[in-house]
Amino acid sequence: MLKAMSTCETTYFGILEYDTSSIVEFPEGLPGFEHLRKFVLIDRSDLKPLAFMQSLEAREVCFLTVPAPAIVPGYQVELTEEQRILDVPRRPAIGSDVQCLVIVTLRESGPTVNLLAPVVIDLKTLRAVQAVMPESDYSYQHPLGEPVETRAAQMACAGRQAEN
Amino acid sequence: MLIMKRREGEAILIGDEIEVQLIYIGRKKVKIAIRAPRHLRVIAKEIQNVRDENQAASGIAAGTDLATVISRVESTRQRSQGAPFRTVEGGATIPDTGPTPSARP
Repeated sequence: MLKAMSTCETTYFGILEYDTSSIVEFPEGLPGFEHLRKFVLIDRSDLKPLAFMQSLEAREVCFLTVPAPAIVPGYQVELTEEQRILDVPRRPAIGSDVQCLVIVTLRESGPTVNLLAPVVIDLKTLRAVQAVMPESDYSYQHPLGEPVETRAAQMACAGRQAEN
Repeated sequence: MLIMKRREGEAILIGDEIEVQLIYIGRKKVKIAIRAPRHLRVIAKEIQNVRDENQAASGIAAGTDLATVISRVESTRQRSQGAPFRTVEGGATIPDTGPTPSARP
């Protein structure tokens, strides 16, 4: 089957060629970028597991992301009613129902990740939301490389060790 | 910040156009009703934190040290005995001579 390819201009990657069926669509944009709805994920084998999330509508908007389970094993997403604009379970299975990416902020003091508000992508449709989870006690500025000390993460780790 | 105590059903006025009423006090949550003019955005505080954080994260800065980021992700995974994951297969191709992210314009 022929892929439908398209191109867009980007600040960091120049002219980018992408498969239009891989567009990730945010029906409500992201907090602070509510007007941007269409993104594409860029991964390169030398940069795994990082993925760039490039806007197709604003050349300079490009987020660096990493899969949440790579930072917190057993990471669990719980979606509110509004976030269930995605047609997935309230506690979707990461890797089968959804993919879950956290956004990396590069600061002078070092990189941090937003564990409080992951990007949740419905793997069936590639529709996505950034799901803010205030009920979790995850940090939106967790220093990358430090262990995650939340009760939820510890319970998740304990669960995994019990399974093994 | 101004600290006030209110019972269920009582309200607070801010300026001439804003009213905050405590509708219901539950064991873990309170329900609050807010009336404010349209030009004022009323959002949960953590949403504003996420907005600000997204703004800070939205461009890849000059001298990005992706190697550091990758090594910290790897050490995090190893410390937590690694977790299986997969990225969404990228739909984009970058030219072979693709530039690593460089300075903001």
